[in-house]
Amino acid sequence: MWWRRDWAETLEVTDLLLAVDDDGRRLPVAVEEVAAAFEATGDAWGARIVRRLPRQGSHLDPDAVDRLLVAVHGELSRLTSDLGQPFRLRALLRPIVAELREQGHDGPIRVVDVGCGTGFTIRWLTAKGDLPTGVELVGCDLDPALVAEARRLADLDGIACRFEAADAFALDDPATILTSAGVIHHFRDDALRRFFAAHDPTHVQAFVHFDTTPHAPWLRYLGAWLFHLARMRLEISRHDGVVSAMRTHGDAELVAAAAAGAPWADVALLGPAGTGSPFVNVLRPVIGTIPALSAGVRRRLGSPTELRAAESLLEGR
Amino acid sequence: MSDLAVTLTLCGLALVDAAFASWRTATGRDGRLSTPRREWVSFGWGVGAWATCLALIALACVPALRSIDTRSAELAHLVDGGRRMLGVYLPMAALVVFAVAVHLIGGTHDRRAAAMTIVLGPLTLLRPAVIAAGALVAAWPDPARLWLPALVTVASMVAIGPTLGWMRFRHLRWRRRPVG
Repeated sequence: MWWRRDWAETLEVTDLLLAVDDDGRRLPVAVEEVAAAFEATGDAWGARIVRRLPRQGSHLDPDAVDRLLVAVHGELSRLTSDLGQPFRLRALLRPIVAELREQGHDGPIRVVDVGCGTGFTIRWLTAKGDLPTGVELVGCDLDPALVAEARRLADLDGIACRFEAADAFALDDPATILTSAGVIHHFRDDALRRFFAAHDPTHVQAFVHFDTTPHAPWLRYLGAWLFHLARMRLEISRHDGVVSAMRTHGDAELVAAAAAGAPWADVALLGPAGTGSPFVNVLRPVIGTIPALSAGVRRRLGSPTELRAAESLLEGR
Repeated sequence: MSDLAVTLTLCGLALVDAAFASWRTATGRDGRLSTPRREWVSFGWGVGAWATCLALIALACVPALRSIDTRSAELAHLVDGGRRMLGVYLPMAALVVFAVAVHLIGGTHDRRAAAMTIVLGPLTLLRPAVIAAGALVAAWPDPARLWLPALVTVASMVAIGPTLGWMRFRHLRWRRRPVG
């Protein structure tokens, strides 16, 4: 069955449309090279999508790629909204922020969204998040086109939040809390550990990273395929939506990488053991807090939530 | 159910369906946050689409009602077809109303997400098939008389989303202007 393939090696189209050199200058992307990369993993669907994209000669048209990525992120914002992702993040940020204040953190609490895309979550949190004063919301993405669009949309709606085309781990004003959604499955093996190691404990007090819950592969495949077919208009969004759901990390693998990369943090997964209902827990967060916050955050999250500590998830490995 | 009730219920279902189709068409277009005003504008386009569909369906019924001698009998045939349609549409409408209610006032975001993933998402995919099934059931016993209204019903209702998408958002397709 197709869902049994090696998804770790499968590619997402949107990951291969952009290439930059060490100075951040845009490099041309050869259509056939990208298509061949998909064919090499047995993904004819991905190769077909790439070959249909607008070209300039034998390379992808960079302006069309920018516009396409903006359109894809517009669709993603719909999915984000449908799944209640901003509500879920807000429900986690509030106790962390409250506990930080309780522990005497008087300065600004900077929440940075890693790989924010067009910044839907940050804009939503700013406009409707009702977070305490002193919380700064910043969206970061390495793609300048997405950040430009995030700023434009924030301006259109009069939302006062900040977006940076920058490495979220190397901001001049560093993050207090780092968050992301649908980002960590892009990092495999040691790269995942390095992602967590980039969280600088000098400033970072907590992190909350969401990714698809690892339900049974057939269920994840069917759910992702159906839901993206119903909610996404672009073929590329449907393809990458399914692939990203299938590339998610297992619970133990995820917390092991987080614990190894960020040894300063108490790491836990939020969600019922056994991954819970697939219709509710579509995304589940890995949470890390400095030890001084852990007990307070757990208490503030309340009894209905199930935080599974890293130790219990790693038993028997 | 009286003839008037059948007619009004069908019109009401078509109105709600058109409004939601229009709303869906507007979502995920530009990544902006939803606002009540923007959502009402979408519903308004749906009302316009609904009125257009009703006009088209009414036109499709004209041939059957042209003769004064047989008008009341033909009208009864049409209403009977509508009654059979309701047998297909009402169960789906009940499911959708329940899921929308859970999504709007269900409380926890878990319930809201479940309403979306279990009911509203999959039913969006099923909608064209359900519309077609309703029309088929309506026309089946008397296709010679009812095929035209049934066909126009299916075509107009299924076309609402793509038509409004083209009318309202074709300028956004991949965005014509450069980004940034």
